[in-house]
Amino acid sequence: MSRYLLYILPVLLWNVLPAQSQTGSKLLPTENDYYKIVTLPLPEGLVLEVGGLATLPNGSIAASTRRGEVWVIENPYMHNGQYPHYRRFASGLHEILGLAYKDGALYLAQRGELTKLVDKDGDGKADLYETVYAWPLSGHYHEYSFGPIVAPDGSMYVTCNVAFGDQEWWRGESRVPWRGWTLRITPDGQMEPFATGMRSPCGIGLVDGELFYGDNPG
Amino acid sequence: MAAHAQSHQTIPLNDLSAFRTPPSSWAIAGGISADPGKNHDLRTEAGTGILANLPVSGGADIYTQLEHGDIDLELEFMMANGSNSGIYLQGKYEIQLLDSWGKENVTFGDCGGVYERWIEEKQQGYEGYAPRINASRAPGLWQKMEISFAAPRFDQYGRKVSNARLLRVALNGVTLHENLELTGPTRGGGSAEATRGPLRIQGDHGPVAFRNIRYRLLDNPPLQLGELKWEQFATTTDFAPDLSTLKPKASGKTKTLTHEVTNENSQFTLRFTGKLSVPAAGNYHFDLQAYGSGTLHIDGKEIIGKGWWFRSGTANLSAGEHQVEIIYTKKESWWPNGLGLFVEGPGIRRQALHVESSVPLGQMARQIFLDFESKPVLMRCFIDFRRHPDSAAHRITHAISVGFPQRLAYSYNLSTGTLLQVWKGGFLDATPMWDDRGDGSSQPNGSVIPLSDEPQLAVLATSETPWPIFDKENSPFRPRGYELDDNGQPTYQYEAYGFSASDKIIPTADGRQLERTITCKSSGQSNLYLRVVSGKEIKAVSATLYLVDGTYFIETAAKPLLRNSGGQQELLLPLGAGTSLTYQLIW
Repeated sequence: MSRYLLYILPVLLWNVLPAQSQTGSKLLPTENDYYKIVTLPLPEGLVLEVGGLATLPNGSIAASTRRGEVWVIENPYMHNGQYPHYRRFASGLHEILGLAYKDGALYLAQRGELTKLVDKDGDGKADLYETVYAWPLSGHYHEYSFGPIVAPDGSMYVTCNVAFGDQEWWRGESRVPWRGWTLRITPDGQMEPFATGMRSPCGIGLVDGELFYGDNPG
Repeated sequence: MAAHAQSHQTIPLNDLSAFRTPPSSWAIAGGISADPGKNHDLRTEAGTGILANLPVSGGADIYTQLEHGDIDLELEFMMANGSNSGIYLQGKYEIQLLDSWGKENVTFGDCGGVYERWIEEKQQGYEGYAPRINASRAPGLWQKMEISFAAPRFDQYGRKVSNARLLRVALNGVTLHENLELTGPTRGGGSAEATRGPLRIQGDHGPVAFRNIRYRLLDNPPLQLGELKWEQFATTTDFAPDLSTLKPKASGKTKTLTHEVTNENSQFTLRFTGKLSVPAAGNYHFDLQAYGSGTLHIDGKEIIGKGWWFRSGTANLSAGEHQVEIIYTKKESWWPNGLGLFVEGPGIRRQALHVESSVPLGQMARQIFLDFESKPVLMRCFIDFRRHPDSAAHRITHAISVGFPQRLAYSYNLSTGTLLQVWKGGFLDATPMWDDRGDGSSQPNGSVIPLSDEPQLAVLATSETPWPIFDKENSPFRPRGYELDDNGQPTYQYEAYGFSASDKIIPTADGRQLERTITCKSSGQSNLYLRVVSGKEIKAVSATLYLVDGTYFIETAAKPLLRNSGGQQELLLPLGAGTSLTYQLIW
């Protein structure tokens, strides 16, 4: 039962939101008036449930997916009207929700760890999947992890969803250490608990040295 | 099979009295072993409990005294290398037994296949059915076959009105066939079909052994719902209110139990009343599938009380007719209507008392499978680990599963460097993780051998020291990830107890087994041990080969210590700094 209720909530939101922007479109400018939104053409069969994006120094974009892959998209702006090119950089990871580029490596949060991906042999695909720091999980589906956000000092921030359902189907529970926390992780893999009280802290960002996150709801 | 189901009967294997004039190649034994690499090798030890066919030359089929119609049959069998046998249901329909170990493409003639029928004049076979996957294990290992069979039906004039059916055939826990209709006996099964016949085991094609032959005879007629009336009430709550105060909005009679008597899809309650005919007294187990809420009462007694969705209850019923009341309430419109009622009891299979159209089959998730590819496929996901096929699952949160082109796979716990399980067949079913929001887990899509979920490395004061109990909160292990070689095969890196180790698990050159190499790169500790395996019984088959609980082999040239500890047996190997240990898993 609770499963049905859980996915009705986003459905209701989707129903409400487009209606508002439609009625508003005559009065207010939309995002598309400032930043043109273009959907990239995908090769048939490619499932891109994107949870993280990173821009690379060479103009490519890297995208991480819930299906555990990292794709490097060359020519993402489709200059000269050419298709973008998709190269699978990594695969087999656990529901990635975040991606960052730093010093030649890609960093990402899987459900249970912060991982560093390196292409050591230069064939355009990761061959080193290094565990920077692993945190515990109880195994509840809602224990998603987000990030990382790279700070100027090279440390990284990840955020950790709570589980729920033991007491009330909606009540958040930190069943193992650091669920509901933001963690600061140094490049050498030391972890420092940074802040707590989060439920579903996705949408994290760093502005002028201050960390922001959008929880659900609000 | 659920605990509420009627218990199985066993064919006694203390002597051969359960069989009709047993041929001379068949004998009762107490122990058995076979070298998987030696043709037709099968050696017995004195005792009881095992039925063995050991033909010197020739050999012949053996028949049970038992005759059966509808039957659920399960048994364990052991093939000798290169051997061939078969189980003929009613003596006529053969499920093939063969040493099909390691074969990539399997046909009807391989282990678990439904053997083909045969046209003698044309010397031509037809209607043989290959197993869905090769779930076979190595010769010398016990394998499990489960068969649910429905006998052909005949009218009063002896004309066949329905074919024999294989409702389900499973080998080593993997379903190979479902709902296959057999138009007649398979090759060598004769021609005349009947309502009953003996079990027949083929004995003229080489050595084979059996144990734990268990069955349920399922010949009782089905339960029937009759004189069904329905009433529909307009209700606004999740559960049915007191209906005695309400007037039905509509009512009628129905031949079948179905929610389709109404066109409403929300804010209604349906009440069905009628008679349930029970052929034999006994305990009956009911499963109510109410897409919404519902209850089941029999003779005014609550069998399944007020609640949501799918629930169960048991009733002790006498033979004859009983009053039944089924209530189904649905408040919301955004899920489909659905009402199902299943029953299982003495001498009957689980049967539906509703019509199939009353349960929304179309709501099942689209399955997402990961198959083996030309390079290793790696996938991190939660793994629900079971120590035994029947034990409760324990969720491993930091697991990785790897499938090789040779169609072998394993799961590994990255938190502790533990090889959790190995399997063959298909790779992963990722539906639970990727369908809809998912729960983060995937399941092996093959026949699994569970190994262990405990750490395999520990520091022991002496070789007598018991294996330590793992303290998850203060784990000495620190995972460092993995690196892929040129073939895409991972080597895991981790640190623990002041040492740094690497761990690589890959298929052997012949592609039939896995080889694991653990290297201790540096160590501040002596007395570091690798526990290769633990089990109830570990038997040395040769100088380098060990049989673990009859279900898999360990092969190693490293001369492990076989010890009894804590009520089980263990294979231990010391792991010194700068050294490597290698062993193979054969199954």
